[in-house]
Amino acid sequence: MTDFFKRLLNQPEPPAAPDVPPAEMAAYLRSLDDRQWGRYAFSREPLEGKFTPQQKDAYTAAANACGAEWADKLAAEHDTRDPLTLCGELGLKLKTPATPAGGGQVLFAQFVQPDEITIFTDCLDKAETLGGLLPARAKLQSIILAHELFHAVEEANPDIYTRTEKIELWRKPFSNKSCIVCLSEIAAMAFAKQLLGLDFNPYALDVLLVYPYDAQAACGLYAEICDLMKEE
Amino acid sequence: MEYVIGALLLASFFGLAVYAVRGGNLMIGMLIIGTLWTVLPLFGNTFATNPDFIAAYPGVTDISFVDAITKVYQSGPEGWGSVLVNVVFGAWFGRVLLETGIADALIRKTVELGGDKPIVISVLLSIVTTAIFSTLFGAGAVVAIGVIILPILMSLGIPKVLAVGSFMMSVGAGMYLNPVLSGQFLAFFLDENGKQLITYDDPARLRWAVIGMLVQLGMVIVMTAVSLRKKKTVHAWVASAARRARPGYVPTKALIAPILPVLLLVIFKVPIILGFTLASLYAMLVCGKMKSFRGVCRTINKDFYDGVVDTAPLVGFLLMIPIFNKSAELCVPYFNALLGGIIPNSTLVISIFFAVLAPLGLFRGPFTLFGCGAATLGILKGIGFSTPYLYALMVIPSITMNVSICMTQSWIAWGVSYAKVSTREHLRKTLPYAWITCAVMQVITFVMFG
Repeated sequence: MTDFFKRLLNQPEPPAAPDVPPAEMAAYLRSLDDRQWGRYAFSREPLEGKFTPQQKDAYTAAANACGAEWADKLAAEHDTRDPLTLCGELGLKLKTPATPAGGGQVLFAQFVQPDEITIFTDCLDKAETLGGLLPARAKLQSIILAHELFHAVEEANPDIYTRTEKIELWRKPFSNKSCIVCLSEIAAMAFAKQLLGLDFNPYALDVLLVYPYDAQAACGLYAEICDLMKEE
Repeated sequence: MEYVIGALLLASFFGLAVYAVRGGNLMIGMLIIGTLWTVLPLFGNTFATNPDFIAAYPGVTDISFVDAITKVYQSGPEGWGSVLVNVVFGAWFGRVLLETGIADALIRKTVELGGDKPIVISVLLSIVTTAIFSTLFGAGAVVAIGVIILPILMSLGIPKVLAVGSFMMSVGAGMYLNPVLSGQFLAFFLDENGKQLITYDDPARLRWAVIGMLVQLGMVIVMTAVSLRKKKTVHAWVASAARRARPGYVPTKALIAPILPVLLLVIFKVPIILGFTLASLYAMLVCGKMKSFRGVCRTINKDFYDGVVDTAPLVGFLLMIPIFNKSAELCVPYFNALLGGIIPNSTLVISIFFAVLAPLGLFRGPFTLFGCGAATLGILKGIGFSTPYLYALMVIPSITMNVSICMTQSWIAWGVSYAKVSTREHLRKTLPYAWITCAVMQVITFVMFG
């Protein structure tokens, strides 16, 4: 069925990225800074066409600052940097089912309003096949949980930057102000990075956690990121 | 004898239904049932003794063996040629819209209007999808548009099952007006000389098709509004496959291209193939793809090739359908003998029947023309209902149940698998709204043609 639809889409096979070894990918992805990951996040933003590169960088910096600030604030308030403990203290429910398999997307985790975080553990199981390229399972789970914790914090604080920063989409006299969806994700990554003291942006997991599911898809993503960085 | 043959035909009809529901290959299924429905009536004709029965169907009960097999296996597929040609040109036009970036730009501009409001975006995208698929056809086009729209919907926290359901039902809404799909339905209604008994631009049919599109689109909007009313915010960390490179600049004036062929046909009576060609050239011109003659030749050549590849999986099935249709004509006397007294000849009763039992259009069942509904049509034709009524009666479940929500439709199987939604979830979400759409449309059909 997959081949059938690939043929229908008539797309060329993903770039010859399958040749890129995961270790090389991991090294490159870890080397990217937060501003560069912001460009990646904006490439997936539905309103991307509305922003200049300078605006994207400014928004990225503000979202990263927001995520980091809230990580420190929460850690200070609860006297812990352990996402699991924070999850319990914030009264959040944590579910850990296996993930659904197949399809064009890999789902790592989700936060459902008002207080439910789900981590799909299948991606953690599969990550172990990459050996030492990724953090240990417990650490990986903490990163993902921390990311979702930020969304819980976001929901509980309507005055947080990622919810108050809006742009006008319609021309006067009409008005439709919208949040910038990717800012929430950028801030959540910064939150996890700051809370856990990581030396890389968790966005790297977008590629590395997909690799065990579909090496070609991961390499396609990697190639897309490389192209984005070259465009700068 | 006529009752025995009628009973055997009916048994084979249910056999086809079971075969279709169990996921059997429909192309081969159509060939087998077409052959069976040629052999059985010919056998019955040979041994029929009732002079009234023989006299009632001149040209059918006395057809020769050679005429029968020529009618079924030669004239049938040949007569479908015009439909196939439209399908191919439609697929080419679809490719042009995708390759010029018009479809992509249309969706992105829509999203930029909606912003972060899931319900506004969802409704706007449903309207745009319906407009696009009022001309575009083919699994390739649906998949190509789906890989743009579905991630956008899901990134805004719209539940996956709603994203897939609303997108696919919007595609289906557009199909009410789609000239390529309509051509396939219209080809079921030919006279003895192969001339169409009802045409695409028939004013009453066109009015009915526009109403059908609006009713289904309205139901998609209701489904979206109801589903998102109590929706909880969802933030999902999802990694998706690499995106296709964004196409170049697409001017605003290019965005009318998707509906140009239908507008040309409806307003200026421009034949649909010329409409597709003019709209394709317009799209390429305004998107700056006509800078050199050689470049234009290369682009048209490639888009046409890709369009034909898009339709390839359908072609075999489309060529077997007329074999089945023609064989069904040979069976009419026997179905009438067996069921003529049972099947009501009141349009009101038939309409109620089709409204209440609309899900029989799922899984290639007896209410879809892309399944064993072709045989149902054969039976109903024998009762003598008017062509516009029969057309509308059968097309409603074929589009709303089969093309819009059924898992046996190739692009729906893709969408459900892409978003990782279970079949059960998908049907639970969409079936009630599709069912209501069918019921409303059957009422409208009864009022207009009953």
